[in-house]
Amino acid sequence: MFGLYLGNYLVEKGRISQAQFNDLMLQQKKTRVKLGLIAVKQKLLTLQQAEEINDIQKKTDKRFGDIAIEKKYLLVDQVTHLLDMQGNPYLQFVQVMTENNILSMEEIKVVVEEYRVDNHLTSSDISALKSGDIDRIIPVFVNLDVPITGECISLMLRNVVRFISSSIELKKAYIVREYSFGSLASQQMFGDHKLFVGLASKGNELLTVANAYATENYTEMNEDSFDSVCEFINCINGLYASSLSQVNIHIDMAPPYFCTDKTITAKGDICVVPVLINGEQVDLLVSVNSHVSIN
Amino acid sequence: MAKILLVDDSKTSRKILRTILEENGHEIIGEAVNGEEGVEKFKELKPDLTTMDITMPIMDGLEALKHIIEYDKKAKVVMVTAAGQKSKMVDAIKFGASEFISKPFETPQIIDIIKKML
Repeated sequence: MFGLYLGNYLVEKGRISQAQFNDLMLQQKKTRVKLGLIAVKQKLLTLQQAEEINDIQKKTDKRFGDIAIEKKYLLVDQVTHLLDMQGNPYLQFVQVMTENNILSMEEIKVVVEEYRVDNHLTSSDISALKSGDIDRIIPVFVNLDVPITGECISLMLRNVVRFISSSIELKKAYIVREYSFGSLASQQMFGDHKLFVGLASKGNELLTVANAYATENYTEMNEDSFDSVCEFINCINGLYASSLSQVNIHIDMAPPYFCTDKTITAKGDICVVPVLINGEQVDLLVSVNSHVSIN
Repeated sequence: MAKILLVDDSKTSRKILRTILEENGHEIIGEAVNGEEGVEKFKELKPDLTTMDITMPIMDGLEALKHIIEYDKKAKVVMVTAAGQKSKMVDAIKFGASEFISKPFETPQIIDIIKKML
């Protein structure tokens, strides 16, 4: 995933062209194989076991390797071995960059340091980005210490990676009380806590979510494409409500809602997490225990 | 093969369910976008089985389920729920729901449930 951050940074700095970057990402994608496939190929799992884990994954917001360990299909060491075989996506990106003679290893080191300084990141933030582990990457950009808000954002982002695209790039989250949008799909939840969760964009960028989730080729944000985004939000909020109910917190979901060209106003904070999905910026909005109105 | 009515306000959700059910040899004889329309179509089409989303505008799935069971005590209604709607699932059982399908959809679960009910 860090390849994406670094690649975009290089495009912004004019060091590589957008076309070069797209080609690099395509080459990197081709080199990455799913963990389940490697496990089946290595005869550590049967195809049925891998499919069973894939199905569980859809419901439980857990990683493939963690489920395999829980089900006692794999040992911790075997998962580590499989992850090693799968390879680190950042290293794959570096490999593709050097093989294409775009930058040398030394030059990449310099660029990473420039990126770190420009983005006010620490060395440990860079290590998290290089790991490709979404759970380590999210806290670099989002303050997860805020109860409910942090968990809700984390769950939504993990599922964007799972259901929409593994090529996402996060930007630093920020807090507002007012937010204007071109397109918004959202859902409110009520009960022990009041939550507002939305995905918004300035223009038609939400299409990247709509098309991936519904496996369609919508070309504009209309009732059908909004429906797809709303359904995605509804499913993920359902998973969140389910996890909260396990700690005796009960929330109920209102029907999802969509609209265009309006402004959200909240009495409390709205946390905005900008996410570049396949290069298109979509903002994740979460507001907890605050009155939210859309006008 | 069963004749099935799909009741869900989400077109995406109906499309995914329709694809799964048709690929497994079932016939979708109608679709409705809210509970009220679902009850009307149930009376009109008399399906073998109805899938009913819970959270819908105008009339929700629980209310529609009550109307359908009042009209036909033997109606087979599978409730479609997002995860985390436990209290509504309990209500649905009280009102006569036959089974549950949870979102995100999982093909083997859906097919098993439908097979069990027919």
